Amino acid sequence: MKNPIVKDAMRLFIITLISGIILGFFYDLTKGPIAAQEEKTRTQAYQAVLPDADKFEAAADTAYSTDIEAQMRPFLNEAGYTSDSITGLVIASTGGKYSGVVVTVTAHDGYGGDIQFSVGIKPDGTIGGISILSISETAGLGMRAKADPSFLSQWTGMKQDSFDLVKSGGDPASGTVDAISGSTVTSKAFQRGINAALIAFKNLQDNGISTAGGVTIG
Amino acid sequence: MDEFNVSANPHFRSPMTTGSIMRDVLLALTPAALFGIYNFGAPALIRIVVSIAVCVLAEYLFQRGMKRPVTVSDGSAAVTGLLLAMNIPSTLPIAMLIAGDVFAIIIVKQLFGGIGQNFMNPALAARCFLLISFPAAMTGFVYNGVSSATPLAILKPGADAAEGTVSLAAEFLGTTGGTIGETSALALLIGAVYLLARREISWRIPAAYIGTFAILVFFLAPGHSFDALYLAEELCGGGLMLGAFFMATDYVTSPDTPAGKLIFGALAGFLTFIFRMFGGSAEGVSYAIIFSNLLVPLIERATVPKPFGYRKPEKTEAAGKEA
Amino acid sequence: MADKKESMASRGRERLYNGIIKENPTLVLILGMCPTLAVTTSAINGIGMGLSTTVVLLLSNTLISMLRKFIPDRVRMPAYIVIVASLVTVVQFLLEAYVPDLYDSLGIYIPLIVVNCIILGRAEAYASKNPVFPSAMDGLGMGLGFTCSLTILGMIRELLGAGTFLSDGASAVFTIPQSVYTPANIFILAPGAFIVLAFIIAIRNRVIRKNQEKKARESRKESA
Repeated sequence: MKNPIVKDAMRLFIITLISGIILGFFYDLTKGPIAAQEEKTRTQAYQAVLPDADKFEAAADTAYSTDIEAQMRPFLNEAGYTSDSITGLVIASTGGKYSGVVVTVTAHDGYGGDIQFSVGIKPDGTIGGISILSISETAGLGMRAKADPSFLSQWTGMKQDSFDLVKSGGDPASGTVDAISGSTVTSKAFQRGINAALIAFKNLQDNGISTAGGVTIG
Repeated sequence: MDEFNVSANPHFRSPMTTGSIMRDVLLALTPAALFGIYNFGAPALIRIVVSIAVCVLAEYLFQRGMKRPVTVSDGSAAVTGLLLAMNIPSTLPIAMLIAGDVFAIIIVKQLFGGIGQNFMNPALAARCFLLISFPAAMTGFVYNGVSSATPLAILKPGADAAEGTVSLAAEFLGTTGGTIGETSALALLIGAVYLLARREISWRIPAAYIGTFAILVFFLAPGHSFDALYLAEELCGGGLMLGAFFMATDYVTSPDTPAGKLIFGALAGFLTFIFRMFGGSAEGVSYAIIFSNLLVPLIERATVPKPFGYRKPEKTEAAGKEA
Repeated sequence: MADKKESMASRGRERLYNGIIKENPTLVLILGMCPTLAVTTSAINGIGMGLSTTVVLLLSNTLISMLRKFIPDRVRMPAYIVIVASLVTVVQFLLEAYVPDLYDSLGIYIPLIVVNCIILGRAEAYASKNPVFPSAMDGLGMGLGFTCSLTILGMIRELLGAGTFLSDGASAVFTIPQSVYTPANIFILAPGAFIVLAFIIAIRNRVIRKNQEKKARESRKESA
C-alpha cells in the first residue's frame, strides 16, 4: 500500500463499517421499545378525547385510512372551510361496539403556522374532547389554548352542528364559545377546525365507513 | 477622531446641555401626559409618578453601587420613566411597570455604559420587553371601564367589523382606548411644535418617518389604497406621533448626519407600514424604531458628510476613464 | 508505579477542574451556543441536553484518543464526524426508546449534538493528542461543565419565564402562584436566554477575578 490515499480511504472505510455495525445493533435493540412507545402515545392521545373507548382502528377502506383529506376536501370546500384539512381518522369501539371517531384536523390558519389537533366525536355527535398534537402559537397568547384547558373544554360534552366564536358570554350548549382574550386568530383556527371535524363526522356517518373488524360508523 | 464626532469643524459651544434638553423634552411631553391622566384617571397618574421615580432611583442606586459618577440630575432617567409610562396601558400592574423601568435603566442603558452609550431607546426596549413578557396585560386596553379595541386594531386589515368603528375626531383629540400617552395626536403635536421651535429636535426624522409611512399607506394599504380618511386614521392612531416626534428623535440612538436622519426616518416609516399592515399585532411603531436604532452605526458610516471644498481624488476618475 | 498512578489521578482531577471551572465550555470558551440558547427553557431540559452531550463527549473523546494513531491525519475530520454521529444516533435511539418524554422536549437538538462545536473542538484540541485516560477525563469534565451551565441557565429561565422550579412539563417541585408572580414570557424566549447567559458569565468572571486577586495578595504577603 504505497499510495497514501488508498491507505487513508481504507482506514476511513473501516471506521465507517464498524460504526455502521454498531448502529445496526442498537437500532435492532431499540426498535421494539420505540414502536411500543409510539403506539402508547397514540392510544393515550385518542383515549384523552374518547375516554370510554378501548380500541382504536383505522378504516378498512384505504381511501379513508390513508388519504382521508382527498375524500373530505370537496365537502369542506363547499362549507367554506378551505384552510382546514382532515389528516387522520380512527374509529373507536368499546367492547367491540362502535363508540365514536377520532378525527385529526390540521388548521392552516393558526397565527404561528399549522395547528394539529384530534377531536373525539361520539356516535350521537357529542364532542368527547379535543387534544392538541402540535401547536406553535405565541407564548402567553395563542399558547394559552394549550396551557389553559378552559378554552378547549368548552366544547367537551356539547352537541351542535357547528360552533360560533364570541368575545365573551358564550354558551356552548347553544353553539357559542368564548374566544381566548387577545388571541382571536388562534381561537378562530380552533373553532373552524372543530366545525370542519363535525362536517367530516357527518359525512362519514352518511357513508357508513367501517373497520376491518366490522365496526361501522352510523 | 471620527469615532467621536462626525461633523467637521469649526465648532462652537452651544448653551444646550443634556439637562436643558431633557427639561425641554419633559415640558413637551407634559400636554400628552396631562391628557393621559384626564383620559384614564388616577391609575394613569399613579403609573407616571411610579415610573419616573423608579427610573431615577434605579439609576441612582446602580451608579452608587458601581461607584460611578451619579448622573440622575441630567433628567434623562426621568424622561425614560415618563416615556415608558406613556407607552403602557393604564391597567398594567404596577409590579410589571417597575420591572420594565428596571430593565430600561439597568440592562439597556447602564450596562451598555450609561447615557450616550445605549444602543437602543431604553423606554422602547422596555416597552418591547413588557410586550413580549406580558402580552395579555400589555394589550388588554380598557376605556371608560369597558374592555375595548384600540383604533388601530379596528383599522387593521382583516379585522372583524364587529370590533367597532373609528371616529377620526376622537382619535385626534385622544378620547379613545390605548396606552396612557399615545391617544391624543393633538397634545403630542403641541409638544412636538415646541421641541421643533426650540430646535431641540430636527424636522428630518419625523418628516421622513411620517412621510414615508403616509405615502406607503396611501398607495399600498391592502383594501384601503387612495383612501384619505383611512390614512388620517392610521396617522392619528397608535403610537405613531409619540414615536416619530419623541422616541425616534432620541439623540443617542438616531444618526447625527442630516442624510442619515432622513434614511433613518424613512426606514422606521417603512417598517411601521410593514408591521401594521402585514404583522401579527396592530401596532408596530416600537419594533420599527428599535430595529432602526440597531442600524444607526451603519447609516452614519454610509452618510458621513463631505468636508467643504472636497473633491474626488483624481485617481479614481482616471481609472474610470481607462476602464 | 505508585508515582505514576498518583500523577494519573491528579491529571484526571486537573482535567475535571479545567472542564467545569477554568475552561467551562459555555461560560469561558462560549462554544455550543445553539443548544445552550435553544433548549434551556427549563432545568430538566438543560440537564437532559447536558447529560446526553456528556455521554457523547466522554465516549467520543475516549474512542478518538484510542484511535488517534489509527486515524490518518488528512481524513481526521470525516473520521471524527462518523464516530460522533454514530454515538449521537445511539444516544438518540436509547432516549427515544426509554425516556420518550425527554426525547420529545429535546427534539431536534439531539441530532444537533453531532455538530456541537464542543465535541469536535475537544476531539481536535485534546483527544487527538493525548492518552486515553486524560482524554476521557477531559470529555467528562467538559460535559459536566456544559451540564452545569445549562442547568443553571435552565433553572433561572424556567423560574422567571414559567414560574416553576424543576418542572417536567406536567408537574413541578414547586410552582409560584400566578397571584404572586406573573411569569415573564421573554425569559423562555430567545432574548431572555441571551440576557440570563450574559449575567451568568459576568457573575462567574467577577467571582474568578476576586479569587485571583485574593490569591495574589496572599502570595505577596508570603513572599514579604
